[in-house]
Amino acid sequence: MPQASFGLSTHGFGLSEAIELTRALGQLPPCCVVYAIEGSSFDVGAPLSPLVAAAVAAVAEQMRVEIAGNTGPRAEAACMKLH
Amino acid sequence: MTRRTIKVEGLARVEGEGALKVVVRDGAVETAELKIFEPPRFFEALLRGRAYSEAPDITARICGICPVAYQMSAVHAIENAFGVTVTGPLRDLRRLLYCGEWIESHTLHIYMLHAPDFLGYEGAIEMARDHPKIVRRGLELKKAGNAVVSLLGGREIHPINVRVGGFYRTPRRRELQPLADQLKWARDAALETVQWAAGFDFPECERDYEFVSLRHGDEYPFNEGRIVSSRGLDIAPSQYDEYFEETQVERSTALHARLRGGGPYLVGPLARYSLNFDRLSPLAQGAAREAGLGITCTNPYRSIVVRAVEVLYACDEALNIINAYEEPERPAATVQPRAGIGYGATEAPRGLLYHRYRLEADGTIAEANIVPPTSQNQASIEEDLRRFIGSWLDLPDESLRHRCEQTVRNHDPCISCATHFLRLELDRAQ
Repeated sequence: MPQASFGLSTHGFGLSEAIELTRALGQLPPCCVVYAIEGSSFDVGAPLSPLVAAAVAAVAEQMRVEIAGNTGPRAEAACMKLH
Repeated sequence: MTRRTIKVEGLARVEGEGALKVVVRDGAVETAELKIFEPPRFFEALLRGRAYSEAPDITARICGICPVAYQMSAVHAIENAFGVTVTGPLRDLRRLLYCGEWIESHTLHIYMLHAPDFLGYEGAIEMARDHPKIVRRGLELKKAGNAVVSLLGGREIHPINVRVGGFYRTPRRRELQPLADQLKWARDAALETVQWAAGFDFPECERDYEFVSLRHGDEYPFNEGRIVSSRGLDIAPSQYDEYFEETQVERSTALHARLRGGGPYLVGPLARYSLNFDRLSPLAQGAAREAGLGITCTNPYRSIVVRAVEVLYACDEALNIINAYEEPERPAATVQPRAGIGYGATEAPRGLLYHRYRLEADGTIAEANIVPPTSQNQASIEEDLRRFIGSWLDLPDESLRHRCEQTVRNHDPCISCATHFLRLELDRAQ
C-alpha cells in the first residue's frame, strides 16, 4: 500500500497503515480487497450526493458478483486490489 | 558565533499537529519553542447557550483518546455547581470507566508511539515486523481498555452513556463478569509491559519539576482530590484560577499555563506517580520497584515505565471494582439545576484536566473554561529541550532531531486537545 508508515501524527493513521500493520503482524488474509467510494460533497448539512448514491449501488453489485461468482481476485495467488 | 539549523518537517507519533524549533548558538541551546499551529477549536464557545445535560457529549468530542476525561471533568464541575454528590456504585463505575480509558490511552502511547524510540524503529509498523508478538500483546491490552469503555460508555470512543448525576444505564453484575476475565489477562500483560519497558536504555536526565496532580485521601487519583504540588501547593479544584494562569504566546494556539508568580509545572503520569506512589496498589508498587523506579520519578524518559505501572494499576483497580460491584437502584442521582459556578478537576491520562462552568438557573451553560493537560505541559516540554539537548549537540543532525522528538514524546502531548503534526526546526546558527 502506498505511503504506509505510522510515521506521522496519529491522525495520519489510515487504511494503508491499518493494512500494513496487519501484514506486519502476519494477520493479513491472503486476499484483501478494498472497495472505496470517493466522497464528492462535504457541504455542511448536505444529503448524500447523487454521484455517491449511484456509486453505492454499482459497488454493491460488484461485490455481490465477486463474492457469488468467486471470479474476483481469489483467482490470484496473492492479491491486493483497490477498486 | 556559530549557528546550527536542523529542521524536522514532521514530529511523528504525537496526537495532533504542531512544530518545534530549536536554536543552538555557540554550542548552547538558545531557545526551544514548541509551536502549535492547529487552529483553535472553540469548544468553550460551542458550549455556551447549551443545556448542562449536553456537556458530557460535547466535551467528549474534544479527544478521541481521552473522551472519558473530558466527560468526567464536565460532570464533576456541573455537579459541583448544582450541589450534587455522586456516591456508591455510581462513583465506582466512574472510576471503572476511567480505568478503561487509562488502559486504552497509555497502551497506545507505550506500544505504538513511544517504544519505537527506544528500540530504534521509525514507527510501530516497522517495530511490528520484528516484534509481532509484543505489538500483538499491546493491541490486545488496549482492547481490554476498549472493552471497559465500550461496556460502560456504550462505545469505545466518544462514549454516550455518561450523564450529569451518573449514567443513562448501569450494567448488571453478570455483564461485568466477561470483562473481569479479560482484565485478568490484561493485568498479566500489563505486568509484562512494565518489565519489558524497564529493560529499555534511558538517558540519565533528571529534572527538578514542580509536579502537579490530584491527591485523594485513600485512592490513586482519577476523579477526585485536592490539587497538590511537589512544592507544597494544596488547594481545592475551585481555587485553580487563583493559583494558575493561562497566557497566550504567539507560537501556539494553545494557551500556556503557569503557576501565578511561579513558573512552569508538570502534570501527567510522572507527577501523579511521584505525588501518589503510596496510593498505588501493592501489585503496582511492587512492579514499580522491580522495574527500578523509586517512589518518585524525575527522569522524563522513564515516563514509559511509569505509564506501564499505571496501566497495571488500572487493570488491578478495575478488577477490584468489578468484584465489589453491587447494582445501583437507579442509574443516576437526581439533579436539580441552579444558578452558580462549578469546578471540576480529574486526572486525564496526560494529567490534570480542569473545567469551570457558569450555569444559569435553568441549567443553561453561560460560560465554560477548559484547561487540558497538554497546554499545562507546553512550557515544561520546552524547558526539557533547553536542558537536555545541550549534552547531545555532538550528535549528527538526524540523530539530534530524533532525540528532540523523543523528548517531546516523553510527555505524550495531545496537541488536538490543547487547541495537530509537529514540525521540528533546529537552528544551530552555523
